[in-house]
Amino acid sequence: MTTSDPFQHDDAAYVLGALSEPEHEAFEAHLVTCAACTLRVNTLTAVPKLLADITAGDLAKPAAESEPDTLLPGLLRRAASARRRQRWLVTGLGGLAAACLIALAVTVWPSAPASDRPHPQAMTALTASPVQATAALIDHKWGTQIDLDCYATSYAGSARVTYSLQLIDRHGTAHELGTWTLEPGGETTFTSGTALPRDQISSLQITRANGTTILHLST
Amino acid sequence: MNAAVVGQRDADLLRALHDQHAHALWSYIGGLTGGDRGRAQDVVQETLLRAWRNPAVLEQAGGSGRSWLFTVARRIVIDQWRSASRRPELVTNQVPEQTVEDTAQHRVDRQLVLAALRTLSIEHRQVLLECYFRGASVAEAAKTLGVPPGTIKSRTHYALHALRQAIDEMGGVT
Repeated sequence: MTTSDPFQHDDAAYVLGALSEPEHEAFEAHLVTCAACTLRVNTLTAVPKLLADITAGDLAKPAAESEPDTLLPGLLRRAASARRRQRWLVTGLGGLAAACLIALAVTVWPSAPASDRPHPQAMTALTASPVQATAALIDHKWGTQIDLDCYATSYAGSARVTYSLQLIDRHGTAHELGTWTLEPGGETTFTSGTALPRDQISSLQITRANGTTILHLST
Repeated sequence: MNAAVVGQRDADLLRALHDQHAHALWSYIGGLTGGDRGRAQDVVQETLLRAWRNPAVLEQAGGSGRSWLFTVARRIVIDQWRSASRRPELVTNQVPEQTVEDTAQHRVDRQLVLAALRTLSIEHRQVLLECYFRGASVAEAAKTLGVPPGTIKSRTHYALHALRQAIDEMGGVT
């Protein structure tokens, strides 16, 4: 065990440049022989750079005031309304989503009659993935508008992953509607469109850059 | 009343998330919303809602999951800036028109470091003020603060390591 290395607390003063000239030299000579101190210094070398934009005045400022009392009640209210929306969505999808398995991905699903109030439908996961999405199809004279809301629900490292939204028409041809990247906890919403009327659209799918389809929605 | 609407289990989870993280998030986000308390509250609530929708992420993220929460909060703020910059009428002097991305990233990094500094004890902040911001040597800081040089060394040691750890826990800076 390390019993009192006389240099063990010199790491911070060293990276801050606060050691005197002789101390500085002695510590550098010590670093050559001491892995523990070298490791401690390495842990700290980036810190002074992070402080570069902070001023002494910032540091002297009092801690932030505490959060308002309205925060928690508002949070509960928003959660309640999210729950209501979720129930509505589940009811709206009915058994269709449950039945919408991979086997049906290629099936041409008869389109429901265009409703006046299109609502987002949750896309069905085809594989384990941290990404979820809802899509809404809206009829227009010019074609069909597609609103997508896609978010990464779980912490899966720090990598940004590229996804693409594909539309499959009645003939089985894929059309790319857009690409985007997501990082853990990230969310993307965008609107795209196609000249195809709704009844010419068979399904929507989200694929990873490597071509794996992760989410699917029969329209 | 609200509890009845979301159900007891949800209300308990939300309350726990709030009690554990709301203060730290508020302290961070407060500095990013230019004193707009309404907007800060909105961002903190949205962040906690996402955690509530996906409680597994907090477990997966290890520890308190604070790093995940800070990352989510940061994204929400940057996205708001980005959409504000696309709507010129909403652009305030908070966000210069050019290099919104860089500026945004720069500001969130700065606020994260500030939030991390606020978690340090008075003694630790004092010693950083002397040895970093005022550029004092160990000997000078010892004189100013009236403690032995060895104490200055050990305080800077614990202060910088604590700061480093706090920054990491908040998701680090880019």
